[in-house]
Amino acid sequence: MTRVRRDGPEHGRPRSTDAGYTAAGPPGHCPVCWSGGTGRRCGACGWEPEATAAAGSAARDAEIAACWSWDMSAAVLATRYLAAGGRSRGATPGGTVDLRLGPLIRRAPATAIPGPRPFGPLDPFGILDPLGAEGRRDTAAGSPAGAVSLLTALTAGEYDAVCVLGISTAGLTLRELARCSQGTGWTHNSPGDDVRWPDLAPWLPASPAERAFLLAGGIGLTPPYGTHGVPRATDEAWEPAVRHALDATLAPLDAARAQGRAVPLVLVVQARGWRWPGHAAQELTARAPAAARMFLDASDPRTLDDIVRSVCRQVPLRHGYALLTRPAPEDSPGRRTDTGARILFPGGTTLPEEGELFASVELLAEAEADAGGGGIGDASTHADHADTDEHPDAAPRPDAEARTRDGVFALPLVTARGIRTEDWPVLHTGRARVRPGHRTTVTVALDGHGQLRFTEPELFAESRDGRTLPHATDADTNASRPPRAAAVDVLLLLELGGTQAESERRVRFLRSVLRRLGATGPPDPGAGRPGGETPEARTGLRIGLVGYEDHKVLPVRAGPEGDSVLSVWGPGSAEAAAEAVRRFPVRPVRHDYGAPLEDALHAAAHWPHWRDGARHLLLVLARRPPHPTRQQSDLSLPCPDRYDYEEALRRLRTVVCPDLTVIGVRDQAAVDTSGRWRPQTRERLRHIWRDLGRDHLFTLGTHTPEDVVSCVDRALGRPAEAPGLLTDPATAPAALGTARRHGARTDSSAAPPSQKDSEHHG
Amino acid sequence: MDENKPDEPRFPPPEMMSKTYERNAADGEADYVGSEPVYVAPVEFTPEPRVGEGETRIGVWGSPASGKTTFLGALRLAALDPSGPFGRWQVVPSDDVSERFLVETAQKLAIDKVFPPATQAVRPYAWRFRGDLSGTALGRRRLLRKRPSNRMEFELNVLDVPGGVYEDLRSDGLTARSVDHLARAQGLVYLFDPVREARNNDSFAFLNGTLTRITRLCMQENRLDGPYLPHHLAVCLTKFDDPDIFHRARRGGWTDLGPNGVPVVSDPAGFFDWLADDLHGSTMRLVGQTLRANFHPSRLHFFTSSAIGFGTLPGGSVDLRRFGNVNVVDGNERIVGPLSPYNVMEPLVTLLLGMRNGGRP
Ligand SMILES: Nc1nc2c(ncn2[C@@H]2O[C@H](COP(=O)(O)OP(=O)(O)OP(=O)(O)O)[C@@H](O)[C@H]2O)c(=O)[nH]1
Ligand SMILES: [Mg+2]
Repeated sequence: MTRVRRDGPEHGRPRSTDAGYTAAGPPGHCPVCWSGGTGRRCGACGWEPEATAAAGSAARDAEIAACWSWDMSAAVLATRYLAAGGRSRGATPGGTVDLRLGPLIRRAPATAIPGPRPFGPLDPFGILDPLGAEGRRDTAAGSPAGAVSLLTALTAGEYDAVCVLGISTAGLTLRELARCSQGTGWTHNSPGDDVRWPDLAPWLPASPAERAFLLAGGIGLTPPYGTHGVPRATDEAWEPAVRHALDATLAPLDAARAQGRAVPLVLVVQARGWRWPGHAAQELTARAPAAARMFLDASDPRTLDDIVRSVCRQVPLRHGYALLTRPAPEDSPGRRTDTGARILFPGGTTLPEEGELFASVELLAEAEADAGGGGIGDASTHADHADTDEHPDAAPRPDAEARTRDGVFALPLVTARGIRTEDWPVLHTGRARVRPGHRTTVTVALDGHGQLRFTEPELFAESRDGRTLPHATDADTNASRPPRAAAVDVLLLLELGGTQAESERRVRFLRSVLRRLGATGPPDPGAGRPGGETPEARTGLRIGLVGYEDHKVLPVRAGPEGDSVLSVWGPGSAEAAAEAVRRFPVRPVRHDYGAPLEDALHAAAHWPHWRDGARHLLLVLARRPPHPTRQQSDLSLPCPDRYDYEEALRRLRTVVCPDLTVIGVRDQAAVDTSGRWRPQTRERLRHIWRDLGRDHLFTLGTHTPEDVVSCVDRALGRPAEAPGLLTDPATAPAALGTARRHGARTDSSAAPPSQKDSEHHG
Repeated sequence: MDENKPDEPRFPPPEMMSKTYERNAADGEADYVGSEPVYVAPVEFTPEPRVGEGETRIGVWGSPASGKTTFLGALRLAALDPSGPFGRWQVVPSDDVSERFLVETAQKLAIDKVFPPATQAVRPYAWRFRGDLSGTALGRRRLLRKRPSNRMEFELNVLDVPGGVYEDLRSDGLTARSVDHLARAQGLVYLFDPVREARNNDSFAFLNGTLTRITRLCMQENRLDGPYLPHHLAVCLTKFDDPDIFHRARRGGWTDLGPNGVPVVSDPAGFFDWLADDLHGSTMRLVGQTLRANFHPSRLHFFTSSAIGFGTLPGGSVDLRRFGNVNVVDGNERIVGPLSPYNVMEPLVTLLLGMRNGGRP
């Protein structure tokens, strides 16, 4: 115990509180760390109790110092952890000891009191590290190298899965990683429930600070050991709990191995130096040794999933990704392989530490209707990979070439696996409006989850169930098309706030959509008579309208007010709705960052006219996001009616109309033109459109009413159009990787940069 | 009240040190003061030129858009609060300009629900504060002192200038006049705007140069107190109602719920330092260090304040789910209302009491 300061002769301080631990320290147990079965020297902390008994007050003072040092080490660990989560009180990041922990620590040695910082240079891992010196000194302890090589072997098919056991200050967690069915990306599963320390050791105090202190190994002035039926020695109290935790957490792994699956285990200890999490890691070594281990500090703010994801980023791509194209006409005068491909990310690519990888290719949108028409039949095999839907509905389809002329093209992403380009499996087909006859840049991002995403041009949103929209090559199979519906309910939510011009633009767009819907939709028996249908009406297209104007009083209101912000019309026919929408009023804007979309969604969730058995569609045309339910850290004011848009949307999607398709049309007029919106506000706007646009998302000004109608038609089981492919202007062989990294663009990664700064790699 | 003789060393006696916030005290813990500021201060100097009895000059200073004008405009409204811990106060304008300002700003804030426009010209204002501390914690303290009176009266002279004049290395007549006003004042209210700091990281640029000049002026007049300026300083973290700042305070565990259901920060000095860390990369840490280096700990007081206060429920309490009090419409900030000034009178009363106790010859 050389690290304890004892510099002075006087140690005769009153021992009123000291009595607490020397007397309560169970006989035969270490008085410092309360481990049981101590012989001459404590195995856990190195204290030699015999020596104390022999000598006089100097030795007693040494014991005080040892106890204080032990507790202080635990408190420092706990404080660092709390500070990293921003939950420490009175201690700055990298500061000393949390205010709440100070009084818990067993008395400091008397002689150290006047000193400036008695514990300053103390090594908190010194006495608490159960992994021994080599685990601590090993600078590579936090290195993911072992895990990366296991995962690389997993992508090569050497293992069936890889399990990751996370031991942290919160508890034990098991994750199972496997390959995606397409052979790309990862699937993350939690095969069992997480086991949390408070459930294992119910006697742990409720306060997070005290709990962390005890978990780190602290004893304190009022230890729980020996009370409430908890054994008096720490190891007697903890060991059964730890063993039980491992049994419970590893049960799915044991089951998988019993079935003969090859599943190696990766251990991630995110509590370096903490006594009891460390003990669990030690137990594991005896029980089911891990094939790879990572030791991280508890102050590492990442969750286990974050860590796993960052490891996955370092695993090289097994297969590359490419974009299917139509070769330039002169390039393939007589060839039958009419489909080309441009490699976006070659095999072996690894992701950067943070952010996404971007790859751009420049392609040509050919205006001629007959350009490369021969490619369509050949490439239709791709449809078998892309769509597995079994609705061979043979509805007639408009000419694909008409769509091409219209400027809508298909962008099929494929995995470069196999010999012939034609056999490469389609992962995902985007559709975009591109100016015909011009070159256009297609940029694809590869994100931290191994997923691909188009960043330009702006795509039509995909259908929600992950099924892709067809491109010209699979039009003949008519796959992935739901059966045509007899009855259709469409509810439109329209934001009324804004200037006259803004309002007119929205109304014009909506009327155009409605007229087109009316022209192609099934006839409504009760057409033109809002609310006039009999409830038995089981067929036809019925439209409802909900306009919402801004809240008058923000944000506090004693009770619900009489006057509603909603203007409701319908249900009625599309034609009548197109007429009615014109009469909706224009209202002033009373708040920049939100509009009562949550009120409108609440009304939609309680709309009495949704018919059973009908197709359900919700179209939202809005500029501003809904008000949040509670004040967050930006200036968006909460809804005075206390509605929760997420709750309403969830209810709509799960309870009211489980098959609901939501189409979002965003009006981007005046959205943060000044650049003064706070980042949180911009993030909220992004988030809401992600949520509302999960099925289909359009932008006013970028997309046309036809685009919206084609999606509506699709959702309603009406014929979908099949756009053509973009042309590859390159004459050289197509496989030219142009992947390049834009490290700055990290907007879609989960952790804010401040957290990444503090990543610990040991 | 131990009044030091003027020629004694002026470093604070140890028991006073312990009253101020300090990190890393001997036992490794910060030693905190409660919410009550320290009013005791030794006699430090005789102001030059002598102001009349009960006449006090206070300088209000802060970076542009830190809320100086709004703060002054809310003073009269804040003084009306009958439940304030600072007693009952009446603010009487001493001239037409001051009256106009009070009335107009009150109208803007409370009725039109808009903020005052950015200050364009220099305006000197003078108000007479007449207060009665009976029945408050401050009043009881006063009873122990020599003068048992709970009545106080002060003339408050402030100069409202555009915050831009305090920018480092600016030198024109306006800056000279403002800095001179600050140097001659006995008390200073320094408004620190954390919202601006979080975005621009430049508050230090409006503090450093000004403070240097004030120090020079005081040096010339031989008014420095050891290494310290002779002034009492109230540091106000303004716009505490701003959701970003308030959320940070909550996240750091600095807020408690006060008696009226309004959140309070019991250790504003500690919060100031913590926020300096939390706004990582900002100049706020420098600001804190500079202030502590230039003002005697017993004359340095921290507050979290908001001229408009939190959005309140009917009844005056604050609902933590809906406390925002600023509504942005067409890019302009408006007040949701009602106005409930938060720690607006407190810094002034603290300064006045501190100066009165410490300023008697
Ligand atoms: N949230 C909040 N914002 C405030 C408060 N006080 C002022 N503001 C904002 O800060 C802006 C500037 O306030 P002013 O009082 O004009 O600031 P100033 O320091 O006098 O500015 P200059 O005269 O330009 O130096 C206002 O327009 C408000 O947007 C407050 O108490 N809370
Ligand atoms: Mg001003």
